Amino acid sequence: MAVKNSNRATNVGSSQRFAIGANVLLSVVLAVGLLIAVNLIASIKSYRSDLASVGNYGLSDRTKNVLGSLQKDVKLSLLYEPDEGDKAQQERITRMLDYCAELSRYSNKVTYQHVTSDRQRESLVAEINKNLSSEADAHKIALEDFERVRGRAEADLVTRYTEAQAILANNESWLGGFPLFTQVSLALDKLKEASQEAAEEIAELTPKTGIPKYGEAVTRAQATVETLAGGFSQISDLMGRLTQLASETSKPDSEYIALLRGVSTDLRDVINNLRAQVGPAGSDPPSDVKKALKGYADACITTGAALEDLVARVDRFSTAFPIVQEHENWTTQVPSRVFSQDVMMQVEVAGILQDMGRSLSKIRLEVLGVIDSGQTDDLAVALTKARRNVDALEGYVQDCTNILASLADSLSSVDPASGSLLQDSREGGLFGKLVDDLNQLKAKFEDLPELKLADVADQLKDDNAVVIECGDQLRVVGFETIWPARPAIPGLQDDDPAETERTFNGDSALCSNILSITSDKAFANVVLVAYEPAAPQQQSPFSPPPARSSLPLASLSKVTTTLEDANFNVEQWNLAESKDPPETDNDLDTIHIFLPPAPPQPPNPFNRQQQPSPMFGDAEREIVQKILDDGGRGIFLASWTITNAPFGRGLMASPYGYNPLLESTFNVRIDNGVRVMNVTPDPRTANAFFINALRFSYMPLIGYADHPVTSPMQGTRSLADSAAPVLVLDGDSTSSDGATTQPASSDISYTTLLEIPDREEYISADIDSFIQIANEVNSSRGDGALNLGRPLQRGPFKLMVACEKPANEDRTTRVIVAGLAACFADQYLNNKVPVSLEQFRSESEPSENLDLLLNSIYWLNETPELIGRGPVPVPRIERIPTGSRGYIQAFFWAIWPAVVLAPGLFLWFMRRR
Amino acid sequence: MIDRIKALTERELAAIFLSFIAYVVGVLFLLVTGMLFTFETLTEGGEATMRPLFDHMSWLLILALPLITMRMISDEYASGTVETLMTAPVSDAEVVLGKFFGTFLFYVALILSTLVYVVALAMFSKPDLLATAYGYLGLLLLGALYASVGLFASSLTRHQLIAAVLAIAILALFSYAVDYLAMIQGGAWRSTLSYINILHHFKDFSKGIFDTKAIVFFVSSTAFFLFLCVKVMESKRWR
Repeated sequence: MAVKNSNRATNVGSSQRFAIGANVLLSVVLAVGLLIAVNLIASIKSYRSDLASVGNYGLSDRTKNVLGSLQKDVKLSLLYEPDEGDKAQQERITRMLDYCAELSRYSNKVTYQHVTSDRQRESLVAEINKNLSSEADAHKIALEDFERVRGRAEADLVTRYTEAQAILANNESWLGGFPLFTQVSLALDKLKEASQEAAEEIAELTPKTGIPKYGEAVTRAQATVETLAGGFSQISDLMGRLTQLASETSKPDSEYIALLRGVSTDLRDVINNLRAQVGPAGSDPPSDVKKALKGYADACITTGAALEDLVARVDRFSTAFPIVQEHENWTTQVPSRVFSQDVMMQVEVAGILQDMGRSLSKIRLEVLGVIDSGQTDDLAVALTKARRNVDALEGYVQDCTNILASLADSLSSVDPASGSLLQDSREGGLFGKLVDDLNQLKAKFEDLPELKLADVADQLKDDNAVVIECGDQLRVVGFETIWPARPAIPGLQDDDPAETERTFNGDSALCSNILSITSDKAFANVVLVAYEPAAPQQQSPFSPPPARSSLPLASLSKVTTTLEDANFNVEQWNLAESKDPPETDNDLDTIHIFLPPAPPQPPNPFNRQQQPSPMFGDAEREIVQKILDDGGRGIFLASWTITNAPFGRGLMASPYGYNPLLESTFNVRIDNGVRVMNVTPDPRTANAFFINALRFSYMPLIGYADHPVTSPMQGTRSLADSAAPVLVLDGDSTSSDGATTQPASSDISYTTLLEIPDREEYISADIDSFIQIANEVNSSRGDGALNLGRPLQRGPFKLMVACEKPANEDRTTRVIVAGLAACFADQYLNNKVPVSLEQFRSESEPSENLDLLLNSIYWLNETPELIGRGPVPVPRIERIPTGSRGYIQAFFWAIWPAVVLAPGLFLWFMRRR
Repeated sequence: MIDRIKALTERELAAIFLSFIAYVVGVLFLLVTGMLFTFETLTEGGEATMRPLFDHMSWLLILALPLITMRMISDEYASGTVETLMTAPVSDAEVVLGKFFGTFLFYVALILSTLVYVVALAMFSKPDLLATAYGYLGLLLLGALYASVGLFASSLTRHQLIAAVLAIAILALFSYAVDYLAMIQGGAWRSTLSYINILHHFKDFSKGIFDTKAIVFFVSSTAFFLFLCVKVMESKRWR
């Protein structure tokens, strides 16, 4: 019973346990379900916001706006190569991935992929290749045409080269008599090699699998076409001239062969006449030496005249066929003395004959002198000398007759191989058809459209780049754009770190590109307004060089490309050439960038009556004034510019053409005779400082205001050269024409966008101070510290000011005046920034300057929401006093843990007691 | 119920503060974070942010917190005091919550002791205090989750060391292992694995990004592991 009861109890316990267990299991399953459901809902309906005020990881408002209005799908491909050992690289990759995840979270139109392996890169390349293919169709066809023509050219070159080699191998060949033909043969070989090299390079540039560089390939093909066409033309020309010569000389009754033979015969006769006067060498002197010498002197005249006639006959041949002078037998080697050294000189037949004539004339005078003196002994000596002279002349005559006979023989008989080649040259030229085809190709290449994706292939080779694809549009955002260099904190030990510190600018960079490739219409017209008079066609060597703008249109290709990439229509307007503005899209606003006009041409000190050159003046200012009065928007750029004063009166500031307009309209002007500089103060001596060569042309810009244009620039590296201050004039200021200006009218509002603060490392120098500084630097005395004996002007210096003024009821005139023109020139933006002269180390080009220009344009266009701003840089830890560092470490490594451990030890000790 | 939880919390808190291991763990934690702080964060020219230190703390706590929680329940089994607890007029949930809050308050004290780093940072620069505070909130939520996992592991065994290893294994699984798996997976798997990655959610806090999803993840996961712990405790009654 008990057993039975026990069994029953066991059965009950088991079933209870099963029921409880099942209950627990069910509740756990439900809990898991609840957990999943809660998290699923949370992930679908989540709210996300960036709380950080610096070093933001989230998306900027601008990016959110852009993503919110996306109509097309955008695909990002992150190109990177994971490197476990490179911590900085790892951090950058993580940061980029985080950012792309944020983009993707915010908009389902944005997707991103990792491209880490070679295989993934190849498939991306294949995908992009499809896009490139359609854009580069014309280029592909042109390259195919090029390959066809090049193939034919190469085949012809091989054939002709073989023929030429065979001709040169035959010592008796007609063409082989011309050393020039050896060069022709070499040129054929070189052209063949150049053609083959070009084919190989173009094949490499346009691989079947991979991204073809059609732009580069076409450039290479163009160069090859130039080389081939040029080489073929030269060879054809040369062979044509040889053919003409051969046609003449190979005739049985060739006038010129007869001429050569005739000259040869006549030459003997001429010299025989002389010999007859003085008698053979070594024979007894004639009874009347004086008479013999007189006869010799007379014969010299007739012989000289005869020689001149012979020279003229030879020249007639070389004039009719100049190529004949290239024949190896046209010249011969004669002994000569140069600087007391016996040398063999290569002299033409005509040259020898001329020399003979000259020597005859000389000896005749000597002989006549002796005859006049009447000294018997002298007469005998003169006779001996005359005989020696005739001996020498007979030798020359022999040389000449040999040359002429040999020349006549070789020119008159054309061997079959030479004849065949010459025959081909005669009929339309050797490469006539090819040259025509090459010229057609040249024209075709010139008509090819510009490839927007030309540099994609190179960019895809870089790591840390991002490819943005939208439909058939594609952009590659490079590493330097996403991770621009970050300025070092002056004075820190790692002021010159081994690796450039970088800051994340991905939000701004990627958003700008997404915006640009997804926009169907340009944002605005940007007109680059310059004043560049054409240089005079005939410049007198005494005239001063033509005055040029400090920022000419030709130096703005980088600015133009950047603006076009940012989706602006860019046009140029040279006020010196046209007073009418260029045609622009009327539906869009127009922003003008007023470049510094070329200063007036200095007067010519050697010709004061000279017509003055055209110069920027009231007429041009009126045009600009009209634009501003109509509510125009623009940026006035100038920079520190000095030039030589006329008549050697030292240096002077180049007048800035827009200053009168800026003063009358906005009460501002640019003091372009003053340069703002960054120097290193000498702590030992008051007013003394060092010039930092690196920062002289790359002055770090600090003092950006909290303004839509400039706040994104805070904490980023931006550099300036030849910066000039902008002056906001008040009643006490003096304008450029010397008059005291009126206080700014109340309807003008000014905003200082960039102001270098009052810091001892920033000074300004007027022309006198600058000359003094330059002289001190050149003198290189002492330790390099400069002391001008007086304090130099310290900041604050306004370098960029925005001015606004109502134009009419609806519109406000808005301009930005900046003394930073020089830092937008190609030569400044395209050069890497040197950071260490000792280690020859440099950083990336100062492309951040372009952001400043772009931001200004967005603001002027009243689209500040499009201004890209990277995350606000995280503040950095300033210098930690050397003594404090040890205390800090001691505190965190010992004292603080000990403080925490102490109560534990105490309690533990108390418990043990 | 609150009073009972409060009483249990006080008891647990006193037990932790009276145990030498808590101080050893605390000191080691401060020593390592102090070194990381002085070497990596408080460097001239470096960024004045606690973010790298928060990220270091997140993995350091995977080792530290299980050492605090390992004895919480397993010691009750080993010493037999669990019988007393089971017969006492408190529910299993109250016991688990009491132990959880006790551990959590100790953890809060530990984390508060790291505020001295923020003070040091503020002496030499201007750190973003809001983002830092939010990072600390993330650390608290992270600690809560770690503590709940530690308690759950402790409830599974009577051996403290096994409990610690088990907790570390679970936490490592839901951080590093899933991170690795997510890296080698694609598509939906990658998203799912990333989602259950504890550190993935914590990064939002260290970056200063407020995301309701991360908060829900931490709170719900903590509650889930506490619930599991309660169920394990309950199962001791009928097994």
